[in-house]
Amino acid sequence: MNVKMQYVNVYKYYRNTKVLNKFNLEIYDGEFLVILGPSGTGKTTLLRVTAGIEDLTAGKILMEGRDISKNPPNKRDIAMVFQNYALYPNMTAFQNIAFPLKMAKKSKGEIKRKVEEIAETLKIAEVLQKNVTLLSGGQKQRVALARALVRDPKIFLLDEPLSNLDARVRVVARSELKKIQKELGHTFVYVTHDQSEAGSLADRVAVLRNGGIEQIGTYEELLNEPKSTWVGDFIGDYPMNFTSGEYVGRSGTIIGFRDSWVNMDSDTLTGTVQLCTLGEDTYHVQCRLGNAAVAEGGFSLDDIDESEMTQPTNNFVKSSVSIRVSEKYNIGARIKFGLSKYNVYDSNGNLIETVKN
Amino acid sequence: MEVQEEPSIRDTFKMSRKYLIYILMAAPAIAYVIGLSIFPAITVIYDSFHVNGQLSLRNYASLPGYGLYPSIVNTLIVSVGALIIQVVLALAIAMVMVKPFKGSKIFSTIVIIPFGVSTIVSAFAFSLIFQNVGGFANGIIVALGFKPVTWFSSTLSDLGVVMFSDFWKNTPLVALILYGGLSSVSPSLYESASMDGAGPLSRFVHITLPNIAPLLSIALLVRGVSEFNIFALPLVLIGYHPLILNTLIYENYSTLATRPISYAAATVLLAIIMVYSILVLRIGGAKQYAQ
Amino acid sequence: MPSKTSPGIYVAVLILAVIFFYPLWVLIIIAFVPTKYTFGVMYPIQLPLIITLQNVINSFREVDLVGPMIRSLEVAFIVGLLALGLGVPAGYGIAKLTARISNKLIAFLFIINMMPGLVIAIPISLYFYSLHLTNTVLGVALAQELVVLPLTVFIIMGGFRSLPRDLENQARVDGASLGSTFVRVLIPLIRVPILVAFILSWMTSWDEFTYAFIVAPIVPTHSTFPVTLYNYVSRNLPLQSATFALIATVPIIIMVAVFQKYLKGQYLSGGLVG
Repeated sequence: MNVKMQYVNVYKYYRNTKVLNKFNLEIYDGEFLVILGPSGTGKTTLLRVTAGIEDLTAGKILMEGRDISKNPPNKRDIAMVFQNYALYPNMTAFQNIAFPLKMAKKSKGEIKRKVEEIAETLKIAEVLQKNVTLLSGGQKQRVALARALVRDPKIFLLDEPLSNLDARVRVVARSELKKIQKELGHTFVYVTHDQSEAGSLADRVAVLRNGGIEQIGTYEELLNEPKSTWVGDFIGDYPMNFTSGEYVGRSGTIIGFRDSWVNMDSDTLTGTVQLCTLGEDTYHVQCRLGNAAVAEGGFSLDDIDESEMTQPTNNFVKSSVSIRVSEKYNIGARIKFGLSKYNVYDSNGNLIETVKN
Repeated sequence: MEVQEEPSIRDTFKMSRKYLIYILMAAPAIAYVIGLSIFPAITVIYDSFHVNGQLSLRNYASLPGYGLYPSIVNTLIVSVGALIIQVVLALAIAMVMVKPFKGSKIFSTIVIIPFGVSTIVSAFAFSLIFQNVGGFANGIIVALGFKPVTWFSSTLSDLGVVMFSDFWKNTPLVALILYGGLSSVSPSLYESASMDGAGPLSRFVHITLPNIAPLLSIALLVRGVSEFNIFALPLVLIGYHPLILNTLIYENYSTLATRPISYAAATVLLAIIMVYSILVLRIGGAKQYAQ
Repeated sequence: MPSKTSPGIYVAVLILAVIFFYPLWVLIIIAFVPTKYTFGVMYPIQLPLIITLQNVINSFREVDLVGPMIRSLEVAFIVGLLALGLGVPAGYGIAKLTARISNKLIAFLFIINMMPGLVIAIPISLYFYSLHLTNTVLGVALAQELVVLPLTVFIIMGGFRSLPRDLENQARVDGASLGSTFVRVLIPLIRVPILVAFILSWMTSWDEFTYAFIVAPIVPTHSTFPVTLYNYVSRNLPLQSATFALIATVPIIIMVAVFQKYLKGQYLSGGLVG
């Protein structure tokens, strides 16, 4: 795949805060890349630096091999959709969408044709002559999107474009967005903190942490093989379960597994139920693991000691794990289960290997 | 491709380039203001302390002979008196304006219009109203069966005419400022206070005043400073007798020989205005609103 | 308890309205009532029972009313336009700086504004004399600019600050240069603050006396309307002065009436708060 855009050792400091800290990333032609991360990790800054709204402190941004990091925003050939849409309030929807074409000095006829075409695609043809301040949230979002899509820039930057919509509209807009992107073959860089968006939209997901990329891959990869306990905790509807353990003689390792990897037919692990709450269709059991030797899996879980847990090697190691079961347990009950799969991390939280039973 | 290392201190300073554009855009206006006010002011102050190129206090020493002290007293009397008249009238207007009543639009137009009327026009109108013999004011007074008043009979009455005449043009501004404060007071506050048995006076003292206090101090600052600067009004109404600071400055400025005296008097005026501004800011606490 | 307007309000309204209208009323009577009922009697008539245009016609014949008005118009427009020319970029620049710096700059401008006009006007007129600007329309305008510039900058800055921050970024990303971002996106959005700043500057200049008096002293062929009016008043020409005063006040009355809502809004008091 061709590299469309490339970040080379990009730094962005705000006074003493390092928002982007030696940031490196390659974006492929035609891909839908989702930037995911908790708030304050520099997602929006990344887009703003890319668009040229903010200068970068050091480093380069290459577009098709050429350094664009010194170009002003209007000389970068990048389209961007801001989170609050940033529609020009003194213009109609038509004028808003036509604005970039006007700036590109396109002919009147071409502008009219292109605007009407994209409006048709996004189903806003009937509101084109309305002032944008009179439009509904969904319509505003579509106008903002249309204003970006009416151009044919090298890359599209989208900053949480669906976050202001209500849930039902959001799901519809999401699938339309994906469809348009694939049909037109556009390269999308899409910032969100919504994991379900990342899961349904992304070709690849880049997880940002401390101004750099913690992990990049498909959403499934992030879900199943998080490179660090941090990613495991961050990605997924529920955080990954972590517990300290001993792995092939290496003490101080951390075992991570997801609820769905719990296999109740097996009995390699033993736990004591601490809490049992009713979830959607299953019971949610919080149980404390202990005194279970798992010969087959090649690791054993230590008898977990509370005092040990006050100084864990990783914040996410808990003395108890949550698993979903289909029956209600009483507190204190012993349950046995096995794991179809688990990840082993070193004491710094970095993935050592993934083990499948 | 060369490897780029972590940015140095210099690189972080590079970001302020963008700010440079903003500063450059603001620069002409600020330079204009500095060039046309600070420099002239410094010239005045500098010249006032020099006689024949020598550092000297002689200009100041001879100031009293030109009527400095009475003019300062007169200036203070006019300023304080005018301020009181304006604040009282403005408060009345603002309190009326916040109430809904028929014809409120016409009313506010009538009371705001003088804001745009030229000071000279205002001075002229009042010179027609207040005349020692005849005039419009005495016309009304006589028609009501009283004896006509000799308006310009003493220093104090002269100053009184000036301070009263100043209300017309300047009350609207104070009223607009106070209106801004009053209109932000929730009516429910008054209602609950009157349910608690608070009379009109107590409501005014306990609700209205605290709510407009900051705006009042702003109005006092703005108007007070302008009040010390009134020039056209006394010039038309009372000429150079009695003197106020500004007419003293102008009278001496217009003769070349006494020009240094006018500089010294101007410096005194500047000092008074600065002291007044600091006092109002300190006492009124307008500072926090100037943020 | 329904809030009913008490009759006391109407008494207050009536008294205040009469007080504030009376000076204008006096000018109208002097200008439009035959002199034998005004200056011809001990106590001038209080109601315009007999109306004549003769005073006005005579005034136009006897003294120059049009010249000073035209000069005042020229000065006011130069002052208003220059205020925008300097104030719009400055307002934008200051709005973009960090609040800490911009507040200091605004405070500085307003402190300068408090300097007594006469103190500044006198040395300015000496400068202008050597630049051949005394007794010129441009000279008066340049001096008066000082009075209106701080408020203009403040109003414009407020306008820019109230805009969504990403709007101009969006315009830049959409391919607009800095110039067309200004012309096509930002300026249309702050047209109300621009209008208000222009009107206030215009009105201030129309009224301004001190600077005009010092920079263009009483030379009948060069002074603005307030200075000329002062000249007529001091030459004891009350009839001509009243006509002149009224004519010069009519545009202001119309402007105040039309733009009342802006004067009542945050612009004026907001400017003074700064």
